[in-house]
Amino acid sequence: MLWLVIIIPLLASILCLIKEKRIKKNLHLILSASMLLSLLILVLHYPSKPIIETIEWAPDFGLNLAFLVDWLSYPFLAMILLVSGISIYYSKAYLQEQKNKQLYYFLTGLFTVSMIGVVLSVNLITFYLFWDVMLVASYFLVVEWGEEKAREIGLKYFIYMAVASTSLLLGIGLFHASTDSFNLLEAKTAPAIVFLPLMISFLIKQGVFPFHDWLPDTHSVAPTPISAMLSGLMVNVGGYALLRVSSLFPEVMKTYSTTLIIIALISLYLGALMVFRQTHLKKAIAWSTVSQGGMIVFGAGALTLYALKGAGFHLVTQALTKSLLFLVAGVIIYATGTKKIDEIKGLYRKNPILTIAFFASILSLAGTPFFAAFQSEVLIFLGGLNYLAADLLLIFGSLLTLGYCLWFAHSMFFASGKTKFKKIRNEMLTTLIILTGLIIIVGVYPNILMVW
Amino acid sequence: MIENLLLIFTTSILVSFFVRKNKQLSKAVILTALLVTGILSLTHDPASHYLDALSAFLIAFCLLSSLPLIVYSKESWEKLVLYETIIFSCFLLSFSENFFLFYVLFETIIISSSIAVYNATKESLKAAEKYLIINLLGSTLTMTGIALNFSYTSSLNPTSTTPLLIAILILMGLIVKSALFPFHVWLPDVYSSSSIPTAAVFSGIIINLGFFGIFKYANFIQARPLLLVLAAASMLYAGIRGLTEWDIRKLIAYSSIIHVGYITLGISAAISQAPALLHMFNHGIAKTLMFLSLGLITTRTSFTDLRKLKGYARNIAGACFLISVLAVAGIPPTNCFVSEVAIIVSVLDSGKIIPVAVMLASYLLAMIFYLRIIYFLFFSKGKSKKIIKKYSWKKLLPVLFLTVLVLIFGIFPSALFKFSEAAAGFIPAL
Repeated sequence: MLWLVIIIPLLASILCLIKEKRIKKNLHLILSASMLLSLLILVLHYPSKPIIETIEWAPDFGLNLAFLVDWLSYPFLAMILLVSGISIYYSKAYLQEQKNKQLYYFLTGLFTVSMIGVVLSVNLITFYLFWDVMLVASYFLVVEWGEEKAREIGLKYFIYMAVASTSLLLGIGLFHASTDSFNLLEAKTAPAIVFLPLMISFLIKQGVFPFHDWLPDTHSVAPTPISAMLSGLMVNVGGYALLRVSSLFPEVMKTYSTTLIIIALISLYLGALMVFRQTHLKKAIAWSTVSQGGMIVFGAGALTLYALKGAGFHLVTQALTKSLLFLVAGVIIYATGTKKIDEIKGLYRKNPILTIAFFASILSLAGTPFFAAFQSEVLIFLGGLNYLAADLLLIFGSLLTLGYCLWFAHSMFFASGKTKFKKIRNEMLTTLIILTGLIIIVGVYPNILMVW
Repeated sequence: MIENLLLIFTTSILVSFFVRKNKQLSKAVILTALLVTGILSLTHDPASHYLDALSAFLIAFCLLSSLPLIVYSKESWEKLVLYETIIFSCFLLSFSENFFLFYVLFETIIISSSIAVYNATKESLKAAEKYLIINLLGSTLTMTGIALNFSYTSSLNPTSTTPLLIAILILMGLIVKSALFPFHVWLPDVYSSSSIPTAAVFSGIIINLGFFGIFKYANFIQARPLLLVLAAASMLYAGIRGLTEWDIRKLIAYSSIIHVGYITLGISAAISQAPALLHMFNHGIAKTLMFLSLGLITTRTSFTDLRKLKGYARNIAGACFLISVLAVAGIPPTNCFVSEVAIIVSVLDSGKIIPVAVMLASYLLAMIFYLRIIYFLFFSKGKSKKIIKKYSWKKLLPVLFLTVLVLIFGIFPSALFKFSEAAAGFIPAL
């Protein structure tokens, strides 16, 4: 029944293209509802032990749809469905004056479907297929509905992602040449060289140093709901793939441990320090994504049980935190009409829900207890103890996170000054409440999303 | 059998000549004749003639990529007859029994297609002359090769005892026709100056004729290193050259050269020939779609410069064009993706990594110029007065048909893959 998880949103997004009055009015409801339905079906497949489902597609070509739900993919899938559903619901408020709404919802649905597909697939060919659909859908979303300059930045985004795809393709070819199979689960082991192109591709998608260049630009020009999906979900799909490979082939991936840990630390510090230099609100948040990407890569590099589980859970908590932070930023930009951090002042008393949501997101980002990301960060710290020096650096780096979170809070919420403030639309507030609630629930009861 | 086909062919030309004033009718006559001859040659008794899975594959390819183009064409009777000659010769050539017959039909196609290129402009005359001269020189070398081969092995077909030098002579005409790197010079000119259906014939069928010859007769194992070098050179050259090109039709030509490189790579370095055969099929269909939809987009303009076509493709034909660009760029779920992956895997299975690295490098370079096409045609804002919103269904139908084919072969590759593997079983290895 797992295929229903993909098919339902796909059908719903195709439904969005039909030119009919009642459909046109309720586009966001149709898509969000389909995501919720998929989520229900997914919950029925709670993986107490890994669930594998295979559907033959083109057997002569070695092509089958092999879906896997286990401790790594289950929580992330649930998060993809939740966050996409919420971002799509939020889109209604964002899209007030934009054209081609039907196409927008279709592409957003396709984008979500492709992410679900990547996370579910263990057959590398279908993995690649969904991976490329993800690229095409997100490219058109960024370029067509983005802010000014989106076209130029879209080119950069596309070129980076094209390199990632090509490298992935090379890796898949090498994988097949050395193991004679496209299925990750069927292969027992493979030479280390096979994983180099795969790893490069995943790191580009994750947007960590030295492949981070596309990330801040793209996230800052994309439409807000799409930024939330890019930063919360798509980027982490790269991290997910890295973790998947690391957890299936730990012996081979040991070769790259040191490299990954160095990359992780550099990204953590680079991202966190760059946040302080930004004046553009969304760009600052995007740099913090680079920084948090380092955490996940660290988990994949450390390769212990705690580190892998922790990094896997960090994907989920990041998805929640980053999407909430981007949606909050979207609300702030909408209400104040400016994107400059310096010009936004004294939001503390403007709207209670906005303030609570903002503080929930930054506290979670900084890894405070009782907020989502606390558990995952602690697990990563615990798992990295065999690389003690690196682990200490990581802990110090996460203090920097706390630093920039306080800086955000100070400059936008507490600094005195006057900023004009428009009334916030109800759709926006609803999404903020839902996400804040989720962050606190996951922070208090992490076991609802953690599969051991 | 052959005499029946010839009878249908000549009758259809005569009939369409007498009704040439009525364009629709003469087009219908030619179309029916092609359909009938195609289906007859696909279904006739294999015992009596040299029809195997390979010939059937090639004929099916010619049929699928040529019929939409005849439906699309609105040109004069003479042009239609030229197309019919070319396609009919392709049918015959697909199930020819010896290399000499193949050569004769090959010449027929060169001459008739060079006439088709000419459409009363200076550039097209130049392009046609260039094409004719280069290809005739190449096929003269092939003829010399056939003669030497005959005196050496007393067989009209190339055999495994054919010496390397003669093998290269024989391959020469085929390589020139396929527009591999040093012999590609005619291709951009032909693409940019001929009419849309002619360009579609060239990009779909004619550019692949060299591969027809290689697959059916001249698959020399000893010449493979040479082919591999030429393939790598064409992929890299066209990938780099395409970066500085603004003419959209020339860009398509460079993309064709890159794909010819992929196919040659599949022939010369892979374990199995099936992926190369499959890619020839898929690329031919995708390129035909590309030209026909480009024709719809630029119906009311004569520009081919990307910078003047800003935002022109924001309509239904543009959507089809977009799918063809995605196909040619090898992005799923289109058909070329399947065959490109098959080529990569097959080459890697034979243990060669460097050719694949070159292929992926050119894939990336090409991605950049495909992206530029998409960027200018879809996202740049220009004067949008000339965007056409509605098309006559007669022109739109073939384009939609090809779009559906591209998607179907991409999503359900199994049947075609099996067919190509069966066909590859009949490719001789000399």
